[in-house]
Parts: sequence; C-alpha cells; structure tokens
Amino acid sequence: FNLELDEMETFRDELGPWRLGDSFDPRPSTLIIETYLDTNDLTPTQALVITDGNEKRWNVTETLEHALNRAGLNVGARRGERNAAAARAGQHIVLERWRIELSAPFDLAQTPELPVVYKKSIILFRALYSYLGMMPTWKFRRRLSKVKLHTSSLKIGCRILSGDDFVRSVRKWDGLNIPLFPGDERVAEDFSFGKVESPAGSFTITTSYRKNCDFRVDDSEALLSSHFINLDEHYFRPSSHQRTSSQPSNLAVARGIEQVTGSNLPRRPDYLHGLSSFPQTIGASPLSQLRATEMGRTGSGGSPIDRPPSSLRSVQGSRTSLRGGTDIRPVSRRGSMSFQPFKSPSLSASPATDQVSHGSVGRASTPGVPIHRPRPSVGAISPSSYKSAQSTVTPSEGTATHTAQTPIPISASPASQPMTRIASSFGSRRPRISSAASVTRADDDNSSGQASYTSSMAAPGSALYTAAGTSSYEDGVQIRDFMTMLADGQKNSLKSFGGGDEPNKLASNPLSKFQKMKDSQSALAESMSSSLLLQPSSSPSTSSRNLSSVPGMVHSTAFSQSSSPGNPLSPQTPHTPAVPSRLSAGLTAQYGQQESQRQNRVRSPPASNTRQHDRIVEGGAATTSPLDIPTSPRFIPRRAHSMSQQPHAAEEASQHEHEDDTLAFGPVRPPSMDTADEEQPRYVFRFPRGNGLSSSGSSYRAGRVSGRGRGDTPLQGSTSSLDKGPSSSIGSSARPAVVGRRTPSWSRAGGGPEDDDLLFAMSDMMIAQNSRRSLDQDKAAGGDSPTSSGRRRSRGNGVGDSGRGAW
Amino acid sequence: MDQPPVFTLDVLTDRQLLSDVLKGVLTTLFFHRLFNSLRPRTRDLLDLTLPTFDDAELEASIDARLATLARYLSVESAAAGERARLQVQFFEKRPRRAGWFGKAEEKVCWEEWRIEVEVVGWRSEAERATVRERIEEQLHRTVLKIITTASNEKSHVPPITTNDANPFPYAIALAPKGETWGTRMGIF
Repeated sequence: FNLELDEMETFRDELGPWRLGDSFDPRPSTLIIETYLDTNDLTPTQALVITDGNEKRWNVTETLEHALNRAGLNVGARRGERNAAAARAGQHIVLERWRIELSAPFDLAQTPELPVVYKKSIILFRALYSYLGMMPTWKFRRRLSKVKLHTSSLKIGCRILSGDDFVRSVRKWDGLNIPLFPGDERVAEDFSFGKVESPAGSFTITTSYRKNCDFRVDDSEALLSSHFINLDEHYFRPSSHQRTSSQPSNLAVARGIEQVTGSNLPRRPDYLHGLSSFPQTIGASPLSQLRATEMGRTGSGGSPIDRPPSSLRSVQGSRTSLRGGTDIRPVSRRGSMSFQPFKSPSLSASPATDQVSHGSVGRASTPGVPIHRPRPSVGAISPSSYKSAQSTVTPSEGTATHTAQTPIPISASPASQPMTRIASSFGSRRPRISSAASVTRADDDNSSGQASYTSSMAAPGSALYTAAGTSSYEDGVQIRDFMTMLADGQKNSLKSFGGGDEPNKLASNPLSKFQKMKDSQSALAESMSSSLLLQPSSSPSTSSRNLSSVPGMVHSTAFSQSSSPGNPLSPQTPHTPAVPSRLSAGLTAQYGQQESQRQNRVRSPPASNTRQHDRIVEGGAATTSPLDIPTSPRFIPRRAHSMSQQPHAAEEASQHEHEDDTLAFGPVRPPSMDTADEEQPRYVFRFPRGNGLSSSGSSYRAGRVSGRGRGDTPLQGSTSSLDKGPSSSIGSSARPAVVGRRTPSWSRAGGGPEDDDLLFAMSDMMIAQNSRRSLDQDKAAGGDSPTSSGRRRSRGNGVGDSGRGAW
Repeated sequence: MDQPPVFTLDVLTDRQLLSDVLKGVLTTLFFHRLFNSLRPRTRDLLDLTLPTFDDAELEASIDARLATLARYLSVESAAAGERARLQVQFFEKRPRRAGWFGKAEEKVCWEEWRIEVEVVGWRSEAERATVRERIEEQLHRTVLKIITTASNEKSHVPPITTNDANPFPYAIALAPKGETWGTRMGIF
C-alpha cells in the first residue's frame, strides 16, 4: 500500500488466523488489538494515579481493586493467583481497543476493482498512520519514554484478541470503559476510519480509546502526605501568623524555624538514625524517602518540602515522631543544602556555617528529608556529620543548616523518617518562613536560632524567604504561633534546660540524647562544619539564604534539638566521642534550651533575641542557662548548629565552630537561652558542648565555641573561658560588643577567639539588630571574608561587631 | 469538469512557528495525498506527532512557497492577525483529445485545499503562553481534519494509472488574501 513499514515479528503466531486464511473461508473474525497499561511492576509502595482535568490525582490502583471486587474478579492475590488471567486482566487498564473487521460482502456485483481497493487502502493506511500519532496513548507512551523515572514501573502492552473471545470476556470486565475517577463519564472516545470496500467485504478499522491517559506513578506515601500537606497548610497558617509578630528579619524566621525544629528534635531521636541511613535521595519525594527508611512517618512526612504547611503540620501532629524524623531529614537535607550554600559566598557567615554543618548533617540524615534542597551530599553524611552539624547548629540566622544540624544528633537514630517529616514540616513552613523569615528575625530573641532554622528548615526556597528577610510580620507571627504550639506540645516532652526558661522545655532526655549524638558527630561535624564554615562568612543574609537552600538542615537541626538529644545522640555517640561531654552536654542542653527558647520565642516574640537563643541553648544544655538565641541573623544559622551540637557535645561544637558559625551559635544558644540574652546566643553556640554547661550558657558556649574550632576538648577550656566571656555576654543580654563576647578566653582552639568574636558579634548584631538582613549585610561585608568555613570565625575576625560593621 | 472539492484548513501560527507549522501541515496533507510509495517517519511539533516523509521535490516546493509567504508577511505590517492563504491543488493528468494544442494531456484539478494562515503575535509573556496553546489546539484540529477528510473523502480520487512516481501532480500556490494572486505553480 505504498507505505514502507518494518516487518514485525511480534504476534506473528497470534495473527496466524488472520494472515493465513483467505477472506472467505473461514471468515476471519474480528481482530481486536488492545493496548493496555501494565501495572504489575509497581512496587507495593507505589501507586498508579491518574490526573483528571482538575489537576487532581486519583489512585487508580485502588479504584481498580474496587472495581475488580465489584466484578467479582478479585481473586485474592491479584498477581497471578488462581485466576491468573482474570487477575492479570484486572491489573490491566485498557488504553485502546482496535477492531479490525471485515464485514460480509453485500453485493459482489458492485465491488470495486482491485486498483480502487488498493488506492483506497493506501489512503486508509496513511490516515491510520497519521492518526496514531495523535492518540493520547501515544502521547502517554512518549511521555513515559522521556521520563526515565518510572519506565520500569509502567509498561504499555499489547495483546490480540479474537472477536469471539472478546465478546465473552468483555462482559465480565471491560478494562477500557472503567471510569478511573469520579466524574469520568465518557471514558473512551471512538474513531473510525473510512471503510474500504472490497470484494471480500467492507473493511473497517475502528478504535475506542481512553481520552485521559495521564497516568503517573506516585509513592503511596506521597499521596498521603499530599493530603496531609493540605491539612497542614491550613493548620499552620494561624500559628504562623502569630509568630510573625516580630522581626521581619530572616533571623526571626529562622528562629522560628529553629524553634520548631528544636521542638521537634527531642522528639525523634530515632529518626536520627534513619536520617543517616537515608540515601541521598534528597530529590526523591519525601515520602519515598520516608518509606525508604521505613520510618513511621506520622504525618505527611513524606510530603515534599514544597508544602511547608503540611510538613509543619505533620511535624506538629507527630511532633515527636515527626520532629525526630523530619528533623533528621531536614537536617540532613539541610546539611547538604547548607553545604551548598556555604560554598557560595553569599551565605552569611553564621548562617552559612550552620548550613554547612547542617548540610553535612543534613546530608547524612536527610535521605528522606523532603527538603527541596538538592542534597547531593546528604547521603554521604553520616550520622556523625549530623552530629557535627547539629553541634554547629549555631543559631545562625535562619540558616537552615541549623536545623540540619540539630537533626544530626537526632539523626543518630534511624529517624530518617522523622527527618523527613521534619523537613516537610519545614517545607510547609517555608512559606511562612519566607515571610516569617523576616518576621522570625524579629523573633530573634525567641528563636534566633530557630529563625535560622526555620529559614534553613524551610526548603531551600523557603530559606530564601528568610534570607530575603521578607519583613512579613505575619509570617513571623505565624511562625511564632507555630512555635508556640510546638512549644506547648513540646513542653511536655522537652525538658526545660534549667535555666528555668520556658523555652527550656526541651526534654532533658532528648537533649541528652542529642548531646550524645552530637558528641558522636561532633568530630564529623567538625570536619563538615569546617567546610561549611566557609560559607558562613557570607553575610547573614546570605546565610539565611543558604539556610533556605538547606532548609532541611535547619529543620533537622531544629528538630534534632528538640528531639531528645539523648536518644538521638546515642546512636551517634560513637562518632564523636572525642569531645568531652561538656559539649554534648552543652549541646543537648542547648538544644533543649533552644527549643525552649524557641518556644519562648514563640510565646514572647518580643522577647529578646537572646531569649530565643536561650531557648535553643536550653535545649542543648539543660544545665546551662538558656542562651538567648541570638536574634541577629547570624545566630540563626548558628543556632541550628548549636542545636545540633548539643547532642554532640563539645565535639561538635568544636567541629562546627570552625566550620561554621552556626556551631558557635548552636552550643552557645542553650546557655543563652536561659538568659535570654541576645549576646548569649553567640556564646551558646560556642560552647554548647560543655554539657555541664556550667550552668551558664556562656560557659557552655565558650566551650562550644572554642571547642568547635578546635575540637571538643578545647571546648571545655574554652567553655570556661566562655564562661567568662559568654557568660557575661550570654548572661547579659547585651552583647553588643562581639569582642566582648569573644573573650579570648573562648580561645576557640583555633580561631576560637576570632570565631567567638564573630559569633558574638553576630549574635550581638543579630540580637541587636533583629534584622538578619542587617546582620547579613554586616556580616557579608565583614564576615564574608573571614572564613567561609566558620562563620563564626569570620565573625570573630571581623567581629567586633562594632568593628565589624561590615562584618 | 465538476468543481473539485475544496477543503479549507485553518492554521494559526505565530512568527516563529510560521514555517514549522505550515510545513507540518503541508507535509501531512501530502502524506495523505501523495500516492507514491514512501517510507513514513514521524516528526514532533508542538507536542503533536506528525507524519513526514522524504521527498526532495516536495520539500523544495514547500520551502519555496513558505519563503515567499514569509517575505510577504514581513513586508506587510507585522500586526497581529495577518492572514495569508495557501492553496494546494492536486491534478490528474487527463489525456486530452483536442488536437491542435499538441498536448496529450491536461491537468485537471480533482481536489483543492485552501489553507488559511493567520499569524498572531503576542504582547506579553503571559499572552505568549495562551497563544501557543491556541496554536497547538488549532494544529491538532487541523491535522485531525486532514486525516478524517482525506480518509473519508476518497471516492473522488481518480484512479491511479501509473505505478511509478506520483500519479497526481500538485501545485502549491500562495494567495495573499484579497491581494494579487502571486501564484507560483509548483507543477512538477
């Protein structure tokens, strides 16, 4: 027919009767060719969904099951059990049905001549060829071939039926006309080609095909989470409003996030493990990740970070679990994320550090974190990194990394899921954070660290929000509200860190766990933070941005903090044993503090930034007085670190110290939390390690801070020094002079003093300014240079806030 | 002779897609009406998969026409809503009995297709998306119309007398709407 096509061997046997027989005797029956969608390769966790015209997705697998049940064809193990054919038929969704028929000749006398038949057949087959390219099934197939993601799961198959058999089977089950979603009335459309008259009869080709072939494979959890997300969105909105009362700065947001995460931290120690074990499927939907980790996602968990509200919600709903899980995840994510941002100079020192640390942590832990950040390294980071991340979770402004850090300790536990959850929660928060970020900044006092966390926690994108410092008070308020909620919920779980700070609601247990984790991870974290620290040098704003990129981190850290540091830490303890417990203790305390701080923050947005820091700190070190979460943006990121650090104990602090300012913040926080001292947060970060946290967060901080840079041990020493400095600073809300904070006593083992300074400066700045942005700018100016690795460091160098100015 | 059936196709396009869309439409049209043996291929255009085939002469003819059309359109004010018309005619060679012309056959048009081309533009990026959508939809409808029309209306196709080459000469003409007939015959 003048159409050159390749010969096809498929179905050669099946087509025998039609190919070989002549057209008269035996009369060929109708040739029916069905194209179907083979779903046998879907794993149990995957579901086939179809998108209807309203962009809503419907679970096809379920629908099919129901239909099969109704039709009585569901024979148990649908996959080839007893009635294999029926079972298989049930699995198949018919996409097209072609009927090729030769009707009986009606009048031989009028049959056209053969050339005419051929001519018309040419036209017919040309039309057939063209039409095939227009069919939805073809487009579906083309889409499948382009998207390599699920090519193995969905297959399009073809089968041959004889008309006689078909008539029988279609009565029982018509795979073509089954509506797959409500409102799908006319499932199939018909088309018929012009018939060709021939001496043998009238040759017709007709087809019925599904109009809607918009099939996709989704993870079952994703579907669930999406539902949750929707819920969460609504749920979170009000809370976020409240939170956004204060600072518009990203810091505030970060703080808020941190708070949130912090609260989460204690929850999910188990998640920590999961996180670390998470593969680096950051990109994968959170759900899949969650699934991967087999974490009991409480809520949406899996929901992609994109849905911040939902994620938050889920976090809330299952704070403990979620937090843990999500924390871990987000943290891990963040960690990874933070790493990236850190690399970029844009990250402010503090945030960067946090992020960096988070990144590392996040990476490890957030395999499943839905944080959107690209977490390439997530998988790479081991729990230890988490720890470090956590330790470094200095409340740097909104650095997501913070959150990431916190999770680290938590991540110790296989709370990969929790991380995810947390991440998702943050994801949902993102929107809030963006606006809230700025707001949370305002919240600095409450959750300086948190803000950073939040910002960081927020999906990478969201972090940007924080970074942007959208001065949306509303968001801040919302976040605050959320934090409050969390805090409330957490109060029970969270142990107050002693500082009597409300923020110190963090459960001591979580803290301890966290701290332990931190310890274990501190070592790793340190290394990580070092890399991360590079970034922190960037201006706080950038850090916030970075945070965004590493929302996971922030979240994770935050979460990790909240989660019982003890538990999470335990798994990771082995990682960073080097660091004296002080750090870990401090860390945990810090976290607790931080958490509490966050909570405090939530509750009292206007509270000084230090408050927030304190909270964070509290979380970390029960013993240490809550450090004020530095309101300054810088802290936010730090905070995250500190948060994470806490669990890790000094080690992390030391690690993070160098690596990122966040560390400095992190540990410092706890102490400051109690003191609600703005400056404190800085210190808090520093030495979160000192579990003993010499009561004063400062000591903690000092220890941490210094420790971070140097390693755990130094922390101790620095702790003491910190005490001097930080305590003063921490205790004293006003730490404007970074230098003062820094107190060389901190002597971070290496760039300790500088870092401390930096930290303090940052915290001061953050607190004082309550606007991350400003800080960022400052930081950026001054801090950029200092140390990409350690924001703190840079801070320290430039610190002198006053001197820094530029930062 | 009887008036050959005239089928109208509406084609919507924008400046950038002008040549691609028209080429796709024309190729599809010829795919259905060119009766030489050809090896089909497919070509994706705007999310549609159109059949195509290799025919050097046809491609040359099409390209020439489209170039002219583009020149014509560019000469005119580039306002949105420019129109042009392409005309494709299919002839059959009928032996002519008349004597003194000397020609043994004449070309008789047995089918004509008119392609109304409308060129639209957009003013903003948002508009661009909607315009693209419209173009796609219209292309889909047009191709579908070609398929259905060509496959259903085939009784008037003259018998194929030769087995080699294309039994039906064709002509692609450009007819600016309401303007002079810049007919260029692509008689092959």
